[in-house]
Amino acid sequence: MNDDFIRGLRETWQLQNHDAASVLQRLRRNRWTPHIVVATEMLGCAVAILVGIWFAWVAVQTKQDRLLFALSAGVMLVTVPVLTAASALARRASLAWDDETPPTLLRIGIRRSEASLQAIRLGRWHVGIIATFVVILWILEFAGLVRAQHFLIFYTMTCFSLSMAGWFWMAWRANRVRDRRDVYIRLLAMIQVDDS
Amino acid sequence: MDVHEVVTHFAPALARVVASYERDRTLRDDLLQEVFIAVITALPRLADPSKLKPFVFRIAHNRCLSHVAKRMRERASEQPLDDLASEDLGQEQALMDAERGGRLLEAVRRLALPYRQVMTLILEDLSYDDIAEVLGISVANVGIRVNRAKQQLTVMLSHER
Repeated sequence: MNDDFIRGLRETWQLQNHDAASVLQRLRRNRWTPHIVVATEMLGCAVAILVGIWFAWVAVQTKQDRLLFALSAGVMLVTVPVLTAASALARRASLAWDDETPPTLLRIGIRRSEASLQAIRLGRWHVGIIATFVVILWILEFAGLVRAQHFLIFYTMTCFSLSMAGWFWMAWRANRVRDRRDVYIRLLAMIQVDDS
Repeated sequence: MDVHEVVTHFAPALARVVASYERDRTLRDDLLQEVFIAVITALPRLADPSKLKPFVFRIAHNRCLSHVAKRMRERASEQPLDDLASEDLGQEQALMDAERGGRLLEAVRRLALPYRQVMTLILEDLSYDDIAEVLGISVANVGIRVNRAKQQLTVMLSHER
């Protein structure tokens, strides 16, 4: 497009100076931030693994609270490295979005939102399964098949509070994901004009 | 070109693109920084150096689009994007109105998103092929959108004279 109108606009447009210098300066000041974040994550992961190994060693050595130390070691050694890897992968995946065109980017966003909503629905089923399990335990207790009332009270309270917290969090999250999906759908409709 | 040169070279153009999406100065600076970081991080993935320009502008437009989506969610309103782009002119706009560049920027901001995207790329000297690549549309569609954007800009700018 080289007509005079566009040429004139281009000249005017390129004369604009939005002073990117301050942003560039800030960028230079913060150039180590992503490296610091990665290093902190790696350090945290390494510390968690060391603590996990120590817990495992204590679990082997001691007779008292062996199960507690073994479980803690398991959580430390399995969960933390997985979470660190998931965080690194998520960061890499989010950067890969930059290779997409805007419509593809929005379609991916819609698909990911749908997948998140599905995962949240599954999460709600988990709450239902846990509640059913607790109810069954109480039925067994009342039927005299199980004798663990104190444990059941503690277990019920723990499950109830965790389930309620999880339920509210999932409801809040589902709303946010739904809003995000709706915005992506609207934006996709906006950028896909009829070019005929 | 190394990373620093690329960023410095494209800084004014990227600042203009970002300005066409966001009027608020603070948010604009944040968005521009986000675009710079995305460009720096993505540069090692650029396979063909001759495609640097569309590569950089695609990242910028993607980040700006994500920013628009975020702003729409934050406002949680049903107002269309074009209203978002043209509301609350503010003091900065009053000052900028005095300038031709400011008038053009305001007119570009008022364009519907698909036309704004092609127009900012045309004004940054990208070819139709490059624009098609950046936006994921055909070259013919670029031509159609440029013509429509041009017609709308002609009307807007003639009204403001």
